[in-house]
Amino acid sequence: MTREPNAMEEKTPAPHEAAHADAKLEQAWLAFDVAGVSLALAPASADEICDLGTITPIPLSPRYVEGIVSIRGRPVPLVSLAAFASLPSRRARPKEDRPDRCIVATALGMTVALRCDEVHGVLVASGAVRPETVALPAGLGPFIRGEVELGPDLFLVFDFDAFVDSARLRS
Amino acid sequence: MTTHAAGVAWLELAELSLGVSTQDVASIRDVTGGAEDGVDLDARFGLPEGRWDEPRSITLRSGAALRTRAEVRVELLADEDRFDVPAFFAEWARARGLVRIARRETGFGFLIEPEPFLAGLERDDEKGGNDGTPH
Repeated sequence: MTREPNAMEEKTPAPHEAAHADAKLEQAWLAFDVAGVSLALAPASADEICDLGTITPIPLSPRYVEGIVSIRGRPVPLVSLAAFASLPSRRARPKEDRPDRCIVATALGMTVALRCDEVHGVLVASGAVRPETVALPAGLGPFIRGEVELGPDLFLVFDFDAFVDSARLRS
Repeated sequence: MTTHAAGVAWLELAELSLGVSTQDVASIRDVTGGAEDGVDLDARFGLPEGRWDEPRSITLRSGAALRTRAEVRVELLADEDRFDVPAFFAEWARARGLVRIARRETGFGFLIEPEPFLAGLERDDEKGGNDGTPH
């Protein structure tokens, strides 16, 4: 006699299916631009993409920490990668009626809103991550883990954990 | 559920609200505005347009004083409007007397512990950087 699977069992994939799902997930990247640089972040690292509202400056803070923003009512630090990595100011004009945006992500137990010029959304890679072939701005190098093709464009793979570890404010 | 509230004296500076617990405040008085009346917060953080008055000095129980022409508003702050400083800058903030964050009508304000906050201002003045003005 065969037993009917219950709902929980139906939701649990077999190990080979889970591995396949992971492989699919690895091919998708959250693509965004900062100061004219195209970056890709593993979607699992990102919590959400938000429009920027009121920014409350933090007294005495370095300039790359722009302030705190309200994300679902809670204060989250807003950080500028462009300022931290001393990227040249090539910020794209925001689209008409579109507020500036940020990617909210958590690394090492710290939630941070990262200011973006543009968020392209989740794009699927047409190949594997490979060593970068473009010259990186000096300040950005420590946070790049190669490049990946997303559609017709190349994006640099951004290591959010390494960035947060380096940018966090210590006493 | 019981909601607790505590008194906070808010200094409404340009784009920035600094809150001092009323338990730390000895007096708030009108002054002429000299250096003897305390650390000049307006020079440091700016004043909101059209929302300033005669200079006032907030003297703390410790003896230190803050001086501002900005509005000083005493309010009760409920527990649910008070947040820990996010981990990204908690350690740094604690060292500078920024102890909690409070939800305000527009944005947030910072609850300060006056002595470490004033010491932080002095340190940054000595270093000549990190001016702390709104970006």
